[in-house]
Amino acid sequence: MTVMINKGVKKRLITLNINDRDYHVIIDDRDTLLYILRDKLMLTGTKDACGVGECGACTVLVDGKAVLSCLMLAIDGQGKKITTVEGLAKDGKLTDLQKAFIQYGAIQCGYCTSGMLMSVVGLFNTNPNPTKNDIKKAIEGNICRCTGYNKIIDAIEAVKDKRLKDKNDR
Amino acid sequence: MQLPHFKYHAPRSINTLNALIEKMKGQAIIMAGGTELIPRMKMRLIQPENLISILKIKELEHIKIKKDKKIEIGATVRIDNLVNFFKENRPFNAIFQAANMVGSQQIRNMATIGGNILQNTRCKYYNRTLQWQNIMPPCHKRGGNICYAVKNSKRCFAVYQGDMAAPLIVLNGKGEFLFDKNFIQKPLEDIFTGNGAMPFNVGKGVLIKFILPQPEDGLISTYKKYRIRDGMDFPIAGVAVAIKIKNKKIDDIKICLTGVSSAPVVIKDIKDFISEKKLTDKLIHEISEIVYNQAHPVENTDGDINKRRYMIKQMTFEAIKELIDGYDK
Repeated sequence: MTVMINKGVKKRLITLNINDRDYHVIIDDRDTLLYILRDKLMLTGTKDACGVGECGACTVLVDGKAVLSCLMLAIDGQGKKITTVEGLAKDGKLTDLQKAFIQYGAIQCGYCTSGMLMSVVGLFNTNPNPTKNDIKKAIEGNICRCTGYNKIIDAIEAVKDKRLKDKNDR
Repeated sequence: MQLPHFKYHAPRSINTLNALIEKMKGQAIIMAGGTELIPRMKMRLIQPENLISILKIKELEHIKIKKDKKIEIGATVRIDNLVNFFKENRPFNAIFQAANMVGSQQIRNMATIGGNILQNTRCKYYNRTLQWQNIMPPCHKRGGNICYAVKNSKRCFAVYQGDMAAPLIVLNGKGEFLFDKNFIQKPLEDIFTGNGAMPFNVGKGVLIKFILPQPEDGLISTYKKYRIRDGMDFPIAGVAVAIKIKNKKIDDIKICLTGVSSAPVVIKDIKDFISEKKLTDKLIHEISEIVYNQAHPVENTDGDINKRRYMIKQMTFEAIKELIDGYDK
């Protein structure tokens, strides 16, 4: 880790592993992961809304678990595997979860969607067969002001059913 | 929202942490999960010169069952890990219930037990933006001498809204603190001052771990939480109950409230009241009444104070009833 001085404020050079790619970024100690993602790395899929951990729009995965990037210091992200919404689709192909969100109309304005998707990916990482209550609990920290919760839950349940069916067919 | 400037330190062992604290001479603040501290810093309620993150200290992040059956919980064990560890654990069910209702899933993944216990008191007139702070004269908690919640009050009434303290207190949990290279254990109820402006009397002590005693036979516990929304919110009233049942009678009972005062409220005189009495709904109603009389919320958070106080009585009744009815099953 290199320490540089810039107008009396110490800066550090750190490496963040985001979506399986290493990014070398110069940060200030006070920078949150959200700020680095959006303003330094231009990964603007992660949204900045309340800034105090109440809305879930900035949710990303850290080592497979959903966390709030507005409440995490970028410096604490070193050595961790960070996944943002940009890391879901591979080679331009959407995941089954993203397709289900479109199919079920689980998106209205779209501002909560990236956070919502990351919370659900985090849920499936720990529980491949969640009940409706588990799903509600997993997205309780993601606020959707277009009130589209029912369609979001429908989309998640459809993905769960399809994944379980595919697993049984194999 | 940007954070204020600070110097970041991340010691990797308790010894280095100790050395750092000595070097900083009180000019540092300790952070674990950051879910409570970072919003406070963003609102400029605190602007520390140095910030010490204790997340890299491996010895603090384990839950262990010791040979003597005591459970040791490191200060930086995440709330989500507590949920998994105490799932279907009957004596310690209150810890599972409380942990499972902390914040949201993201918060539970980030927040730690130590941070939850040592979270600062809150008030709707204190947890405000910088703009508001610049306009209004400072209250007791911001170094002034006004209380906006209780008019003409000489002290601060900011409310303690941690979920985890009440269950750990009723289960006789202790906290182990590091004071100048010495490790000191304190019962958890003793770390609170009851003063909203300065809620903890741990001085320079650093919370290292929690110790839960071996559960006695017949011990059962639960936690009830009242909040406006079913997710995310802090408790605006909460009740933790632990009961020890022996020969179909209540042998011991401990009740602790949260979200109604500047510290968790341990209910007094309750053990003598129930001694040798037959277990009926009437007795449970009487216990709930005693609890109700010791809960004194003030108008400083969401919800109506009468409703919050009433909910304390209701939740106490439900909690005890649920524990006793479920005991034989």
